[in-house]
Amino acid sequence: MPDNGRYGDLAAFLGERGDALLRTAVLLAPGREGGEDLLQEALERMLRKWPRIQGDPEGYLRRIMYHRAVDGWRLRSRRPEVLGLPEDAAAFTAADHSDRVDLRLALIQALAGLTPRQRAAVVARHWEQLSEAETAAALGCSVSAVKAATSRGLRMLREAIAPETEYLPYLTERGSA
Amino acid sequence: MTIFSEGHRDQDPATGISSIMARTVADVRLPAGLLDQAVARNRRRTVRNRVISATSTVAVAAAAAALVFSLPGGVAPSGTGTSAAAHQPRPVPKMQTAAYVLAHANAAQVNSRTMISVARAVDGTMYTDVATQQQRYITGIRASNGQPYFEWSDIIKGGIWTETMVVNQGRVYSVETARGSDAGSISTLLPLQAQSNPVAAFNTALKQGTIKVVGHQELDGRDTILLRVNREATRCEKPGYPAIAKANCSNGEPVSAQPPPDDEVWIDASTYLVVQTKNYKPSPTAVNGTWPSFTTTVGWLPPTPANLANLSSTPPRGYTKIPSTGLVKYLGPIS
Repeated sequence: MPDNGRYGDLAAFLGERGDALLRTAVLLAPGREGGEDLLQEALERMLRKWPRIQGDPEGYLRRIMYHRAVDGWRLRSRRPEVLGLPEDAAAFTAADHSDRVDLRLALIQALAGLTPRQRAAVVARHWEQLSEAETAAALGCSVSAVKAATSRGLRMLREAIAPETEYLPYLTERGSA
Repeated sequence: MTIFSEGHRDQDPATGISSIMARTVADVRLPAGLLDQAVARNRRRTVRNRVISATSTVAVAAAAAALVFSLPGGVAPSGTGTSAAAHQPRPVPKMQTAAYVLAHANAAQVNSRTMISVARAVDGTMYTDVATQQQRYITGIRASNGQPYFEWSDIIKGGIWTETMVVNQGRVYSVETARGSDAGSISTLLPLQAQSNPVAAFNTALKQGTIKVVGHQELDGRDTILLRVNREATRCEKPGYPAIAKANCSNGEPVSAQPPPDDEVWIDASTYLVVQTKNYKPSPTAVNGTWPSFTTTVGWLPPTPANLANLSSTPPRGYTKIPSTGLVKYLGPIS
């Protein structure tokens, strides 16, 4: 690893929280490779300030990811998007879990159909379990904008994903079901 | 436990979406090497920004040249242009008007807008076509065979940004592209976009006293005008200065206890084109009163076919094309 000493703390932090961060990034991107790109770019930005960051690096990293997910980071993406199956997708499918693979593909495809803000709002609210106020702070917008984006995003997800799953009755906005 | 901890995430039966998301990413694991790649790319960006920072000074100084020629009686011997002008016995001309500044700023820039700048520093050489902002950077680090360790070129054409990177050490190259959804988005990739409005840059610098005119100075037998540019006063603001200049900022304010000296810019007294810059690094801080610095000499070439060819990086025959993410393997030791 280049300059391992200087970034040893960061490597240790990622060893502990890297999987969780990448999972959020995969949903925000959405997709496996896009998620890796998004997390890598967030890491790049954090590295510029790493020696001076005090407190919660995870919160800092997640804020960068959300901001970049909303403000068009895709323009700088280095790779064409590939929908996000894990590397062991083939083995996964062979293990008679094709319905789960379909579900995952459907979700990634449905997330890709949302606007960046809708996607980020849905991920923040229903993956991170953030409150509307916390989501608004993370995205840099108003609570009403979060409500609107989440509501529209969930509706679009429901329309896109419902035929693939048994979750149709449940894909309603939290608190309004 | 934080709000981001997985154990905190309830499976909300009212939506089901959380459950689907959890299933979707359950097998996602952080791949080995992601941090390595981020570190390598961050350093590569630092190298690039450092050179761009030097060339950006060119544009700022070109705007500052308007100040030089708006002073009564020529160049002030020292101090800021405004204070020097105020002490002249003759009435101060209306140099502050936007039209006046615009005319001189445009006059100062007209000599460069069709040219190719060649900025040479100890760590590499940057070619920049001012008109198209196409760029090529050749590192000063040498590979084992004596060739430059790596080089890259950027071009934006037809709304598509393309970067070609050639690593001679590994005999590999990569080509990356990005398409802007609109002109505004693609413009964020332009290296000189922050200085696209020289009048605004000039007015800002004048108002803040960030550009000072020192006076005439002979440089390698050439009559030049020396300017001093104080980045410290503005580098934490946005927009206006390259990202590297915003290092060591907190809440929009510099955190350096001891600011570095002003950058120095030498402008040719007849063409107004920048011929040399000396930039002081914001960190580490001075040792024994001496700040680390680097000097960049700037040459200007007409856009002849031969000179335009210098703007492209062409992989030699026999080199292997690889994804950009694989470059870290070759750039790691020097990035």
